[in-house]
Amino acid sequence: MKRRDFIKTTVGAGVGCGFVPMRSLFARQAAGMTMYDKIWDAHEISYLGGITSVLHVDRMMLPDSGPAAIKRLLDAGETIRNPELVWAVADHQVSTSPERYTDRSLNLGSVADDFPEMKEQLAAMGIQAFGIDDPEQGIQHVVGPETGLTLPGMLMVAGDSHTCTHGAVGCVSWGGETAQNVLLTGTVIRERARNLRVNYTGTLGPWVRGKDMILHTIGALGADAGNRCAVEYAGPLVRSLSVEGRMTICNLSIEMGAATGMVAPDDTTYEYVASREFAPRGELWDQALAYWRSLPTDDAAAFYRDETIDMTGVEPQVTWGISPEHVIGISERIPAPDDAPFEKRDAWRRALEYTRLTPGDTIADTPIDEVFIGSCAESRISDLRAAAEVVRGRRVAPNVLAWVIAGSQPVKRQAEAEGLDRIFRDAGFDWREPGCSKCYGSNGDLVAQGKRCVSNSNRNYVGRQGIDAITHLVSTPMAAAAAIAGRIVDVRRLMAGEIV
Amino acid sequence: MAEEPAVLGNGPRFIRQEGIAAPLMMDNVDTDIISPIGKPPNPGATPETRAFEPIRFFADGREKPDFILNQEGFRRSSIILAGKNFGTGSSRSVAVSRPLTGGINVVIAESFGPLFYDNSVRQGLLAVPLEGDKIERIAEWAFANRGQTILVDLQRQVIEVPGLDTFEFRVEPRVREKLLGGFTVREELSRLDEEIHVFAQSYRQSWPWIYQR
Repeated sequence: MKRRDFIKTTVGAGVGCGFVPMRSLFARQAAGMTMYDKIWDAHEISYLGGITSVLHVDRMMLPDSGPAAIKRLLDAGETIRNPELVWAVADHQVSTSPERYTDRSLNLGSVADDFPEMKEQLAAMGIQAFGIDDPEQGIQHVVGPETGLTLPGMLMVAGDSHTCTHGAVGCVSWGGETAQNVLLTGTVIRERARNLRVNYTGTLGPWVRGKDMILHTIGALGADAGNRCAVEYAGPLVRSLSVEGRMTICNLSIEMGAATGMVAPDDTTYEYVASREFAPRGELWDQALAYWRSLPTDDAAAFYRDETIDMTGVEPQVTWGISPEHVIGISERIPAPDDAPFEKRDAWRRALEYTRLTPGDTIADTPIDEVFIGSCAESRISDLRAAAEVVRGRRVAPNVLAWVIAGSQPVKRQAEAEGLDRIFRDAGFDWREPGCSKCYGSNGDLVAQGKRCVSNSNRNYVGRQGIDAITHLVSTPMAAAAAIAGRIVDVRRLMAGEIV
Repeated sequence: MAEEPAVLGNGPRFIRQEGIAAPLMMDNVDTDIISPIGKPPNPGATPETRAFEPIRFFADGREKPDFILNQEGFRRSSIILAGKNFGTGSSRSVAVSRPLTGGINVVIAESFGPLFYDNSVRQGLLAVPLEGDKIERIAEWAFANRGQTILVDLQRQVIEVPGLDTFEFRVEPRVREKLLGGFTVREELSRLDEEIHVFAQSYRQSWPWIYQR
């Protein structure tokens, strides 16, 4: 049997125990293809049976340990396959202190030294490597699209789980790959995911953004809704978002349990990509663009699952528990475990015990200790502008420790050029250097033990931001509003002058 | 029954596991619960008990009595029974290596976080997807038969629970072959080296804009 025929007729077990209905596979073959399947097929080198294939990798993105990993392989006499498709940036282990450039020991591991020491050697191989001294440095999921190293139609892989962010420019991207395997072979072995489409309809209310769309979606569908699925976010509301807003949505695909998330490229995408440092130019641009225009899902393509989320009336979202699916609107009350579906009652009880909240109370007015604005979810210039609009002319509440971390050096420079840093500093925020930081503290930046943090990041797991630390996930303007009020508040009411 | 592979690899092997199954019947057991990183180890933890630290220990190092692996009859479990979305979260390899160090070689769950699943395949922990009602039955049996063992056999793709039932499961053919033969990913790919090379050459011709920047 030929590979393609076999794919269409084979069902696989894999990550979950559900099976793909055969009819839907036949329908796909007959009527049209999804964007995910188009990109998958373009990269498929070899089919290994079941739903597994070997795929060609267009970009391998390495973190802090990237240069060291490459050096180890070279020292062992190995050859890097397709080095010009590899790039690295220091983000997880870098200090976010302004002193990090002079006191290099503030950065964990040897991350501050590896990049400058290996820069020339890597450049000679065609490998871009951005250390803390480079003007492109930042969080990898900000840097990739921002530099044009991530382009539509690509298969983009990395170790980090939030690599799904890059799907916002119309590519397929995922984390969880090991550097060594990809560097030595230029390929990955993967199981093909099922196609899940989330269509957004309705209108966004004031101060409701991409972050609220995806948090609301995870709340509505569940943190496992994306199991074995590649999620395509679609519909007029997604079209109306900037590429940065789309990145926030795609970023939390992994919090929905999905293999990846993506948005079909459109003119918004092409305009975003065109000016980027590493984007193709001239004839190559025309060639690429023609290909990118063929990528969007065919009208007749069948989806394993098709969901519609109506955003009309959805408020700014805030999590109350220890999973991103534990989420409510800002004016809602904290739910009681007895209100949960039977199978979730225990989880809700444990969640409320951990977050020390009382069912029936409003989530608004919960006092907080820290605010974190940063992370690959929302630390791009449009996010910082939204936060600055909230903060302008106001002060951070006493006893609240509030940080703002631009997602990259270019974002930081742009923010400073616009005077946003002054707005944050004058209000009492710490304005720090780009890196992953307190999203989970692998550089040592942690929320203090047992403290409550309002965060614009993507995970509110037990102990995620620090030992016994409680995380409330919100959008960036909601995080800014909480910093001002010293408690969880509705940014709409703060901006309307109803909260002082 | 599948035959013994003719050639064995240098990677982790999994053929079968007979052991105690510990019901950790929660959904969404995330990687930060399984293996926190970036934080100091819990004062009560040993290398064998670092998995599940936040639900295994209080911050001062005392054991949490309600955690299943702290309970009599389940301390030496090698199999975890769980709900949906086990291992949701990050790509950290320690989410698999710490349970392995603690003797956990199998997780049976309704579904798995995609990155935990990939790590399990790489490191030789068997992630078995099974329907929820079947896992419930095994969990009830495990509570009623503390200290008794079950058998998870990858070769035959069955779970045998003495006196209860035999449950069939399916993993991807490639995963089964990899784990039975103990192949590393690199060994798997080295067999395809020529095919990969040919593909890469024509790919470069077709998509120059991916290479030139």
